[in-house]
Amino acid sequence: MTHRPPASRTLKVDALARVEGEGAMHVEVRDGRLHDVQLRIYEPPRFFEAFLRGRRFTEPADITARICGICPVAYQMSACAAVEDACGVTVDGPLRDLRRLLYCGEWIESHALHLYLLHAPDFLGYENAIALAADHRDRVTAGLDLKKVGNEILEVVGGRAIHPVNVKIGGFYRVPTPTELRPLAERLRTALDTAIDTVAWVAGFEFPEVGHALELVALSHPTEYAVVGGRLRSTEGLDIASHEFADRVVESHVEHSTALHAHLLERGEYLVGPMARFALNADRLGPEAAAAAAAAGLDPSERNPFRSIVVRAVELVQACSEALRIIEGYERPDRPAVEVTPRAGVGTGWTEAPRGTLWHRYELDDDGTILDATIVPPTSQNQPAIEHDLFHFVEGNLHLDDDELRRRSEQVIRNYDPCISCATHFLDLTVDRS
Amino acid sequence: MRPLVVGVGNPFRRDDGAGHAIVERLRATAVEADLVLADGEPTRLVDAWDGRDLVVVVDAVRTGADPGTVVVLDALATDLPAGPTASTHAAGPGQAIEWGRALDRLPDALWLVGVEGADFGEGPGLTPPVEAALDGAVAAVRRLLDGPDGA
Repeated sequence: MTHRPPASRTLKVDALARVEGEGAMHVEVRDGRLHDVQLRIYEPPRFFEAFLRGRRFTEPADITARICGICPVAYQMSACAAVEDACGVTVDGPLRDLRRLLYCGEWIESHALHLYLLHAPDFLGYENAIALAADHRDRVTAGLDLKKVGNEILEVVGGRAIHPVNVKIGGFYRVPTPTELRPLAERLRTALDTAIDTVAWVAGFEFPEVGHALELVALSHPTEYAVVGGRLRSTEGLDIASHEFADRVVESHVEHSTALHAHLLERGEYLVGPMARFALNADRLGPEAAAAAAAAGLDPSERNPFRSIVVRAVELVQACSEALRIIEGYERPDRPAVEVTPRAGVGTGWTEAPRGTLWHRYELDDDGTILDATIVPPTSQNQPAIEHDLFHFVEGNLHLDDDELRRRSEQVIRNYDPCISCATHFLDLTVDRS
Repeated sequence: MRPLVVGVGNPFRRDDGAGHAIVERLRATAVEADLVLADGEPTRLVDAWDGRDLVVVVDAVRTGADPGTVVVLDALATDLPAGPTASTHAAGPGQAIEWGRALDRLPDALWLVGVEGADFGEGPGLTPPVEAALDGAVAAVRRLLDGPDGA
């Protein structure tokens, strides 16, 4: 540095790069002190909760899938869980396994996309993934192949790769034959090797020495690395069922965001997503993912958000090995779905979307008409925590000039893989030092 | 491998549906090519054209010409705008070519047949000048598929 930055300045990033959707960042520095940090979500509101009112109880899986092109399965699975809860139906056995398989496809697709195309360029000093690919062609090709395997699972089980059409309340419209799944197994064996290699690759990146003390929150299941179902647990002792969620989490509107901010009642910001899942559920990883995590030196006490890329890679291993196990043990269910009869009442459900816990709540009339719907996506839950982390990061790095501070701040945001389109009900960066 | 025609765009954004509409017209006739629809996501476009000798991308364009004007470009010899790169949303053939170049996965010949759009607002349906230009665009694609003289 050849000069000191001014005592007051505004840093702006009007359109954050390499995040899902459109948002901005605004940082204000006054008289040498950090005054405000905002993650601005300016995508227009989506109104999905309102669309759902008056629709049939059979429709949320298809309607909410449209919320996101990256994680439609998460919306479908949480919607099904909540509606089935309202109707008193439990889907288990091979149909539940197929749901987990479909979900593994989405985790693979979403994590590979974020890791290789959005996040890795930060650590290797590239402006974007195309520049990374020009120098690391084999690596990026392997990453794109991994993403493609995820898409293929969605095509075979979900009917198509984007906004799958084969999911219904109670199960599926059609279940695949073992012969249809077999080619996926071969692809997944290669994908698993790529994922294990990916963990070793990203674990070798250089990470700034930072950490946070945020409460980490994730679904937890007695025997599985939770994806579909479980109780919501935290590193600070939270342990609740899905119907208790609205009593413990408050959503509030802030002027700079079309995404609602979520806080735990009387506790404050919290974080959902891969680092939370790993912190709470590492002992339930499959042997391949556990071995990859151990080799990478990762343990459940990890709190450096920059190392979230290593956790995502471990979850890629987990999703590949889990998908492979489900396919190897697959027997076609007798029927594609269990029958679901509507009844008046309220149902809640949640699953672990790639970016964290996704909660749905539906109130149904006795004929199955939806009277009320609430959807709490992971990014809106993480938004206050991201701002909290960003505040501390910027506060500790005010000596940097605007360009470098802006660049590193964007990296901080990408650590969390925010999905802005999902959260709007959101990203640009502005730093105000006036 | 057979030639490939890729219709790119979003039919729910008015004239951005031109690429899909052209492919649908080609589908209704006998054509010696594989036909696919795409949303423009670059890595999927690269996957679609990887290993092909001849690929024609059909898409709506915005060059400032009169609506309905059909342009035929040698996409490997032309600097196509890479489009906004800030977001993972909104990408297109320009970025896909950059990807293909970085990954060494470009077809031997890659043509763009573009129709100048007028309205890219929300909703289905093409504007009359773009609708009227579809037959001309289909004929341009056919000439490219028929051989180098047609270009």
